[in-house]
Amino acid sequence: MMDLTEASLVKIARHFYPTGYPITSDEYGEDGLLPHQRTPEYARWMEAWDKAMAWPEWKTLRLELHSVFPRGRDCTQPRMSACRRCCVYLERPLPHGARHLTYVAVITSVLAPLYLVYCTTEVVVDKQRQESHLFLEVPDEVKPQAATLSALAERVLGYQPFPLQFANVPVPGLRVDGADWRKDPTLLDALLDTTLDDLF
Amino acid sequence: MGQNMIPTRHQQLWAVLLLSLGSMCGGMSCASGQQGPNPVVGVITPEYFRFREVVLDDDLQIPAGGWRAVCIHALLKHGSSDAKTVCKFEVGLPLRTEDDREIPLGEAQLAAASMANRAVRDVLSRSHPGEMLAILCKDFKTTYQAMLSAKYRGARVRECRSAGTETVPFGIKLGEEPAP
Repeated sequence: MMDLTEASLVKIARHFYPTGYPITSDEYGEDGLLPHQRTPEYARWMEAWDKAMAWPEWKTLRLELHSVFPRGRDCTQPRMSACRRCCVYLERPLPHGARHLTYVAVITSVLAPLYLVYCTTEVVVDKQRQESHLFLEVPDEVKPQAATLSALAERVLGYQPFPLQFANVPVPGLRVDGADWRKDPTLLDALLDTTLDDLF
Repeated sequence: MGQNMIPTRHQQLWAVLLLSLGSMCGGMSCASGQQGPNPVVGVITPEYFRFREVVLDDDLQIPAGGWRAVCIHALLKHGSSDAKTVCKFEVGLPLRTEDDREIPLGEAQLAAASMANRAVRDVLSRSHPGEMLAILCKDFKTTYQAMLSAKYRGARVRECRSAGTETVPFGIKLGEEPAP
């Protein structure tokens, strides 16, 4: 089991993202790269993704997911964040052709053996999304699905839950693509994803 | 704005690109090589979005959202001088939506091009005069992603990082026809 202190998580984040490369100093060099893309931290992040896209356990996880949830699927967005992802999709019809959608997702970090299960809900009317909500603590009605996803991440990947109490801990100066550059990125941004809603 | 604001060469080039893209593209009716009163021409068109599938959706036993991505290098050159600057971005889109509807490549390309042009116009309309290129490029990516993900869930616009994607230069010579 890994050490789940704030200090240890910050250390992991700083291992994979360089510090001190604000976008205001971005300028492409002759090699076509930005300065932060020449750092060892960036190289480690890229290597972590190479490994994650070849995880043998991932296929097992997908197969098991599918056997439990026929509509469960891999919704990884490669290199767009720091996680692979599986989603379970639940739909309930509403009056006048509207639909209530629930997504339960498990995201697994490619940088550390940590996962997070969360849920989004929304109402779709005429293809327009309304009343979108994000739940880091999942509502009671999807607790069974969430428990199954958690169990898969723990048993198949050997992962443990991301400690939510550290999710919003800022890591000053860290260069995390996709995070709001006007703010310090958080541990959640760095180790999992900057954009949790908008599941597909 | 582009012709009156000359804080630095890069800023001027970017502003001129933005101005030309914004003024020459209206929603889905963008056209390449279109000539207007502005001598600068540059509207990115669907054929630049040469997506490749980086997560296949080829196993019907295990459904995947799938993933396609392309890396665009929007390169700006100033006439016959050596001045040039660039904004690089990767566009990633699912192959399928949540209701298992496939997003056809042609549709994805059309939306990606149309919204890129619209995002550029939006960023310009609210940017401060003299804003740095790096900030405009970043704001463009943020705005562009918001537009794309409103249409296609899960769409992302990031730095170019994916293995296996095609890098497509979008060249603009100010005062000349755009590169093919």
